[in-house]
This record gives sequence, C-alpha cells and structure tokens, in this order.
Amino acid sequence: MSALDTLRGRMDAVATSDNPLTALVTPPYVLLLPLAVLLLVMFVGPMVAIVLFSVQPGNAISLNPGTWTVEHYAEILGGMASGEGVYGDVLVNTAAVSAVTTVVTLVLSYPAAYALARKIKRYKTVFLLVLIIPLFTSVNIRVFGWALFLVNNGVLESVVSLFGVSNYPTMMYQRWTIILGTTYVYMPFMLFPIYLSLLSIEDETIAAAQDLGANRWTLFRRIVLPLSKPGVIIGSLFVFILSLGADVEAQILGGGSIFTMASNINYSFGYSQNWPLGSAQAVGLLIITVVCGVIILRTINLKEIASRGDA
Amino acid sequence: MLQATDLRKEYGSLVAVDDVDLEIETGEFATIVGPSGSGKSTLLHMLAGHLEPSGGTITLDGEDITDTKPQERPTSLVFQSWALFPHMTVRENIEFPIRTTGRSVDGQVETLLEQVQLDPEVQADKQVSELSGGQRQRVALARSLAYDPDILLLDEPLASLDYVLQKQLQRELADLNVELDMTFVYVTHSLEAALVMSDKLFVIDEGDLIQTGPPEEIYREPNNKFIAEFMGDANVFAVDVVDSDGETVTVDSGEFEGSVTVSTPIDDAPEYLVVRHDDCVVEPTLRRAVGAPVNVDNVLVRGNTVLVECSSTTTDDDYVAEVDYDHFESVDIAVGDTAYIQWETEKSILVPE
Repeated sequence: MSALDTLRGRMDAVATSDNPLTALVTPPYVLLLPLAVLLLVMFVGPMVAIVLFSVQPGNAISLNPGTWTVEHYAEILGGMASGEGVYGDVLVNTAAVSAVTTVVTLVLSYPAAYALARKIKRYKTVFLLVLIIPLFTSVNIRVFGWALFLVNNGVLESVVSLFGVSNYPTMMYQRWTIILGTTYVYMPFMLFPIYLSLLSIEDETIAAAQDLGANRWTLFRRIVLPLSKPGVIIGSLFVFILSLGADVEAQILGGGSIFTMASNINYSFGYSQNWPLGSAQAVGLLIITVVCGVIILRTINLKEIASRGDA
Repeated sequence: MLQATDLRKEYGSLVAVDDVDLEIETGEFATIVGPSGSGKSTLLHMLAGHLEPSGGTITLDGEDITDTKPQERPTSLVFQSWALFPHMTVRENIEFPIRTTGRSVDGQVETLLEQVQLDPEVQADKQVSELSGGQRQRVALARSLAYDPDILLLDEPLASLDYVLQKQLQRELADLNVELDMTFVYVTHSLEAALVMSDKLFVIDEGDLIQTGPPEEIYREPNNKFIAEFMGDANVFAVDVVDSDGETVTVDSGEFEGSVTVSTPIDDAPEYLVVRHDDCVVEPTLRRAVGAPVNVDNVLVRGNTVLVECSSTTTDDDYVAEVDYDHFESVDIAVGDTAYIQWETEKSILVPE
C-alpha cells in the first residue's frame, strides 16, 4: 500500500467515524469551533452563574454551597399568582409591551416592506438607508431623544402650543410611551426579515399566479402572504423577544413608575443589590423567552423553507 | 384564431419586437423560434398579457384582447422556470387555477396528472421540492391545463432538462396538442424542438419576424443566409449569378468546381449557396455534380454518422460533411488526405444575405 493510499484510508476513517468528537474536528464543523467556544465561555458560563445565584438566600453576594433556597421563585410566582406586590404589574406590563409592540411593528412594517421589495424601483436604496441609519445610533441616545421630544415643556409641547393647545397632557411615564419607544427601536427587526422574504419571491411565481386567474386578493392570500410568512415569524420573534428584554425604554420612558421584567431585574441588581432575587427574575425571563420562541418558531416549517431554494 | 398585428415592444431606444404580424389557427402547434435575445419570449409574454405592447393589437377570434389582464385571458403560460408555487404540494398547485376560476376540483387533479404521464397516487401529495426536473415540467404543464385555456403558451419549458428527456417531452407535447385539440404556442431556440413539434414556424431575429411557414418549407427554402444557417448545420459558399431566367438561377463560385443551376422561389438575387452537412459527402475523387477540393482535417465518429471536418485548398474556409458510417467505411479517406467535399445539385439552396 502506497503512502497516499494509507493517508486516504485514514482520512476516510475519520470522515466516516461515529465518534462525534472526531467529527467536530473535521471540516466544516471545525469552522464553527471558535464561535462555539466563545458562546460556551460568554453565554453558558454566566447563565450557569445566574441560575446558581437564583437559589441563594437574599442579599448573598457569593455562592455558598449548602444554602440553596427557592424563596425568590416562590416570592415571584406567588406575587404573579396573587396579583399582589410588583410582580403582577411587571408581568402585565412586560406582556403588554411585547405583544403590542410586535403587532404594531408588524402592521406598520408589512406594507412598507411590500412596497420596498416589490413595487418601489426608484430611490429604493435611499429608503433602505433611511431605515438603517437609526441603527447606527445608540439605543440610549434615540430613547433620550424621544424623552426630550415628549416631556412636559419639551419639543412636542412647544410645537402644539403654537397651535393654541394649552393643556398639554402628560405624555411620559405611561405604558404606551414605552410601547412607542420599543416600536420605534425594534421596527427594523420586523421590517427587514419581511422585506427579505418578500424580495425572495420570484417574479415568475407572481406572474404565474396572475396567469392562472388569481385576482389581487387571491394573489396576496394564497401566494404572497404564505411565502413571506417566514419573514413575518422571524421578525415577530425578534421584536417579541427583544421587547421582553426592553430595559432602556422602560427606564427612560417609564421613568421608574412603569416597570417591566427587564427594568425590574436591573433594579434588583442595582438599586436593591439583591442579586439572588434579580437572578431568579432573570431565569424567569429566560424561560418565558425560550418558551415564546419555541411556540413562535413552531408555526413555520423550517425544513420546508430550507428546501424552497430547490423548488 | 390568434392574431397579432403590428405588435411592437420598445425598451427605451431598444426595439425588442418590431411590428410583428402573426396568425395562429385554432388547434395549431405554432413555434416561435430564434436565437437568444431575438425577442421571442417578449413576444410570447405580450400574447400572455404579462407585458404591455408599445404598439399593435392582439385579437382572439376577432375579439381585441390587447389590454386584457393575464388573469382574464383564455391563455395560460408555462414558464421557462416552471414557476411552481414552492409552498404548495403538487395537488395544491394544480388545484390553484381550478379554484380561482370557481370550478369543482373533484377528480381533476388525478385526470390531469395522468394526462401528463404522472402517477397521481405517487406524486399528487408530494412537495414541489421532492420532484425531479422532468416531473416539475409535467406538473407545470398539468397546472396550466387545469386553467382550461383556449391557448397554451410555452416559454422554453424544456430548456433546462437533459437531452433524452427533452426529446421524450417534445413528443408528448405534440401528442397532447392533437389529443386536446388546443392551440399551442411554443417558444424555443432549439431547431430540433421546432421541427419535431410544430405545424407552423415563426422565425424571429432581432425583433423582426423574418419567415413564417411549415417547418419543412423553411428548412428547405429559407429566405436568407441567417435562416438557412439557423435551421440546420450547413456549409456556405459565396456565389455569383451567371444566368437567370426568372424560374431558375445559375451560379458559380471560385470555391467549388462547376456551375449550379437550381430553381429558387426567392426574388432577391442569391449571394450564397447553402448545403446541409448531411447532404454532403467527402470522397477522394469528384463523383457528384458539385464539389470543392479540400484537405481532411479531422474525423469524428458519432455512432451511425461520421463528421468529416475539412478545409478548402483554395480559400481559408472550413467545411463539414456528415456521412453515414457505412459510407465512410467504404471510401478510403483519412486525416491529411486531399479529397472533394461534394453534393448533388438539387441539395443546393440559394439565398440572399
């Protein structure tokens, strides 16, 4: 046996090995390794720490084996169940902000994405740039901008007073103000997945449907909407999950009077210095996020979408 | 009858289709044939209503349908890419036009799949991505037939299939045209497809309709050099007219020995003699009416036939003869020999530029 045959035999043996560790060091899996290591260190590690802290007694600042307790989970779940204390409001606020933000961004984004993907030819790049440019700015700056705009004696009040409006209502520190902020901040995360999914619909698919007798409504209902559904689902997933974790918007536009789960976690870790309680809330938020993500993703057939390129 | 009059399509200064007139009888298999970029697909998409003409009219049985939307025309287009709906099964694809036209789907899918040679029990509930290229083409055809059109328009639907499957489907399409007694308008750049399937050919080049007629007529009596070369592999000789009596023309050329006198229906004075590769033979001595001295450069065996590639001994021109393998075996020809590429007078086609 030549040296080349020996080498080829060894490579075949590695490629066909059932050992997953062996498979991981063969291309293309080896290309994933740096990212996998980074995720392990920077995501899994802190997550484990959070989970462990969440079962420590109140005000613990280090892990003490043998002092495990579920008192914080009991406090949070009890509060949510009874509606007493802050946790009931926090849950309602968080759910309302996430759900309404998702629906509003979807309703506003879909027509715009459709126009950009399938109708507008001239100045399309300009429109896309206008939509992308806000992403280049820090969320804090954009949300503070909103605060300066809406606050009493702010820009909006000055403008409306020019038209004789004297009793300017309190715009800040309302639930809908937070929703306004999350809608504005997360809009691109809804718009671009929908835009890309609409863009991927072949012109001939549309022409074929028209050719086969589809009117505008049938064309939208039977062809455009189903084919853009992955974009709608992915966009909704992004916006819903990002809104679940909306902290800056709640802190600045909620002004400490409207709490969401994220801002309450921030409060527990910061002002209250109750890391175990903050950790328990973080674990709760993580569980809610994962469950919602799985439910949303189950509404689309990822395998069928992956095979569309072959159709 | 489908009729287009002065049909025109412009894109800025580019004229894609230039005042084309065509008439297609009911039940006819008409093929629009031409090279890539000639405007044939543009013409078809105007007939389908997907492109708005810049000028001219389209009528169907006397009714003007020029401005009728695609979804309101009694036509259905089979796209080059087939354009099957990727999120639907085969059954849902075929049911789509039946539902849009408000008809009952009962048993229709099975009948249509059988019509295009697919087994409904095996294929009906498959996703489109699970089908082979040939199966997708058949499903696209079944879906268009499900629309129950008066005219089926086909935009090179076989172009991306392998050669064997193309030949099989060409045959099936021709049979389907007869079986359904439906008008088929087929667009292709493939001469073979055009010749095999069509009752009538429309040859188009650079937006102009340059010849119309039955395939055999266009093959044997092309209007000009472009059509003569497009309609089949051929050797071309520049000629001079030495005599003409209105019915026959006599030409000669420095490239071949002897003069050629043939009847020609072309009004314009011929400038070229065209002879098909398979009408030529190469032999050591001149034994037929017309021939040109050549050097044999290459011999390619293609199963039943042999391609003999030659170069003129007097000019820089190259010629090819496609001869039967048995004939090639019977003559003593090898690469490097000097011989004659030759043919009978009646195989000569005289055409203008």
